[in-house]
Amino acid sequence: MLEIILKRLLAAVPVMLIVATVVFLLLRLAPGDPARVIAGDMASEEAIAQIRTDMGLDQSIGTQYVRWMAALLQGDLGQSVQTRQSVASLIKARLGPTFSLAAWAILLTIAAAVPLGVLAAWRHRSITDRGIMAGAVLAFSVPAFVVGYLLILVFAVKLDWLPVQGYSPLADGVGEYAAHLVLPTVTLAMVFVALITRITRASMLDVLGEDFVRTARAKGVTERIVLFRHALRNAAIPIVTIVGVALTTLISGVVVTETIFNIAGVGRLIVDSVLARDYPVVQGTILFFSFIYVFINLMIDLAYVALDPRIRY
Amino acid sequence: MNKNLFGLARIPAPAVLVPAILSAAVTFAGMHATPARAQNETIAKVVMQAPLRVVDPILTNAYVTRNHGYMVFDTLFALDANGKPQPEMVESWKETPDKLTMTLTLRKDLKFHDGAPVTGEDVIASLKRWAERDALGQRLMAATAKLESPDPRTVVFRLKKPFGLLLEALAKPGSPVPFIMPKRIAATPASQPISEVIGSGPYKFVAATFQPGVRASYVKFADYVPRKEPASGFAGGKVAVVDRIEMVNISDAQTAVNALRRGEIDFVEDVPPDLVSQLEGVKTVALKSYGKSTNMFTLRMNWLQPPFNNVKVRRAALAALYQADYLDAQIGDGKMYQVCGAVLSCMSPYASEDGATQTKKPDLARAKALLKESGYDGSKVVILHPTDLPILASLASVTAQALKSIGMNVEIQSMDWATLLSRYSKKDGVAQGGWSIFQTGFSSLDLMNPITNPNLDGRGEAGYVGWSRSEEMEKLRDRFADESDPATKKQIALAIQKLNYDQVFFIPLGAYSKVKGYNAVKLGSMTDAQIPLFWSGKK
Repeated sequence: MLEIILKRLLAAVPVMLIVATVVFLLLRLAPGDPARVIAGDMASEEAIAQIRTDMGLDQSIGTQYVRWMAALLQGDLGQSVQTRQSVASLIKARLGPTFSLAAWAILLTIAAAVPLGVLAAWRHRSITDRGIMAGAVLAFSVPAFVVGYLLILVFAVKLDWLPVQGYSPLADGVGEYAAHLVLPTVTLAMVFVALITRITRASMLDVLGEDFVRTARAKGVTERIVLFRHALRNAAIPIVTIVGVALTTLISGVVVTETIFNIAGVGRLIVDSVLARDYPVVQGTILFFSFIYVFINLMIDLAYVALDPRIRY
Repeated sequence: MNKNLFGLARIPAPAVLVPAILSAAVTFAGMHATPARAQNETIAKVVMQAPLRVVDPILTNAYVTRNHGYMVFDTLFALDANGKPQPEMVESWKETPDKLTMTLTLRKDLKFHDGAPVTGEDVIASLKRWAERDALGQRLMAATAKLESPDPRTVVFRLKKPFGLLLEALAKPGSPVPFIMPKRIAATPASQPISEVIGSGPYKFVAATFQPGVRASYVKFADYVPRKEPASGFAGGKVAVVDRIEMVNISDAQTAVNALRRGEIDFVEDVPPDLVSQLEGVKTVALKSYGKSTNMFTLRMNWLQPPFNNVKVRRAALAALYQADYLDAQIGDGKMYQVCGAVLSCMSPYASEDGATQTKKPDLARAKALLKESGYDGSKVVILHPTDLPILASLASVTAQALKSIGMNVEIQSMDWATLLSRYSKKDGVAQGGWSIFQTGFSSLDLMNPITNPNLDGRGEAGYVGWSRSEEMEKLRDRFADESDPATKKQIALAIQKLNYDQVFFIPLGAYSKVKGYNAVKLGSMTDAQIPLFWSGKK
């Protein structure tokens, strides 16, 4: 197993280098100039040219690439051209909100979606099944910015139960930490609850029609054990795959939710950096995301082994 | 391989994924705890119109950095509510009768946030750095033979020729502002960011808690000695209104308004016109305009490329435009905008409506006749349209509609602001990625003086984008800079206004007011100015 983990991690290195190179080139090919963004629209051409020189952006793309890659191979993600802070420190400062939001959203998703999906499959074609599916379609269809604003309006502005915005670090107290995460977590989890409920239901319906389930029922095994020990375990592979995809999306692509609830996470960092053409931050953040993708995919593969003894690598 | 190695087969699936993320969440969730605060400390959480990323107010002319600068740094002079320069760091000043020597004496109680006294050497280094980035500063330095500090409290300008705008330059309120910083910091080249944010203003910047684009903190500078005069505009006594200011970024305007309603924040710099009604009637929240015509939309044409390299086409375009259309489309509420044709903004003491036609219903027949007379051949007009700045979103469509209505071939090209900044520096024709029309919004502070107003640049390719060339305009601007008599200055400003509309350097598209929303109890005593200033004149 350790060998597999090491092999996978080693295989990730060329993947990340390719990602790094592609991102580097795409950014240089895209229109926009960080020096102009910093100097502003009233700055003179001379002032902009001087800023560009000081940033090293007047060098050839090849020279810039070699310098950046050499630093990267030594573990240095570089320095933001806009703030002059290290890219690693900028990413690190955003990890708390991002990981917290992703973790609680995925936990809520699993806790709600798997039982709902199992229930819908178990009560196939009943009112319960149709109700759950209608709810799933609704949750999947309503965009996060509508859900988020509605939740803010009801629970923050009208009822005054929860804060409108912001992130409170755990160090400032568990109560504040939790209060600030409730609404964004629910907003984020909605779409994934809907998706995973549907996947769980479909997967369970397949498995519940299998012979071994009929055999288990014939042997008098209780429905709870049939559903959760026999059926769910065999239906779990697609569910785990989607959970993994959801997790990577939650860590890297929750810009809308972060914006509505004013959470300074990694998603907003990358969007702001793209808009400011802060090349090193965009490059560093995308590399970080690619590492997260590789890591979560590895975790999913390990989960497959745990779930299905027939799977070998 | 052994399928059950490490006992994986007995572990439920979610337990493999979630703990890894949870442990990471818990590890990082505690980071960046809110800084400890003193008991009974009064704190205001403020939201500005853009995130603060660059803290050097000379390197960038971003308005948020200028506003940050006003908290941390002080200026030698400052404009009062009537637009008149008043002493701020300066105790007294004396000009020789030949107007060739100006001696400034600094107040004796001035201190930087690191405890060092403010000296003439600090002032000279700061002004030199500022002048590298500022048009008015460059003219001042060009007119200065020597800038010296014979003793720590004295600064002497020895001029080659009289410079009528000397006090106005030192009191310049718009970006970049001539803020004073310690000599060792001001020695940083103007193209590089300063490494420390140390000023002598009413608030100290807390570098340890600064998260670029997320939050910045400022604490009241205990050793700041405010002037005795009451606060007036940018001038007068600067008494910090709270002990600590926490500038937090909320990029979504609706979220900022909701947070203000609930009391989570205390100040929103710019409440969008369509959200003002949500704050009306909220007991704890006050709404106040920064004043009439504090901002202005502008349209600039590319003088280097067809069709606007032809003054007759520029005149035809001017005749087709109508300010009210822009203001209705972009601002909407008639109480918050002002039709204004003054090229130096309607806030300027030199404001005039001479030559402006876009302030009245357009005469399309005349515009068409002018276009025909110009010999316009149907060449394409490319309008640059920024998609990520809601305050400029509607301008391109209004212009396109107006120009199409007189028979011009118009194309709107949409892009984000960073791309637009690159595109608009291209001098090529539209087929090679160039452009024809660029529209933006300015603070009137940047337009009210012909020297600092970039749209009046007549230096051609060496000047501001659009590259308007006019020796006559440059001579008028030189005369304005040299002149000290207010009546003559007004005459020159009027000539500039007329020349602008004759040659169509740029077209003012209308002025509008911005509204601030704030906690009336905490920040009710803030001084009134065109931008947020977190001080009052009351002790």
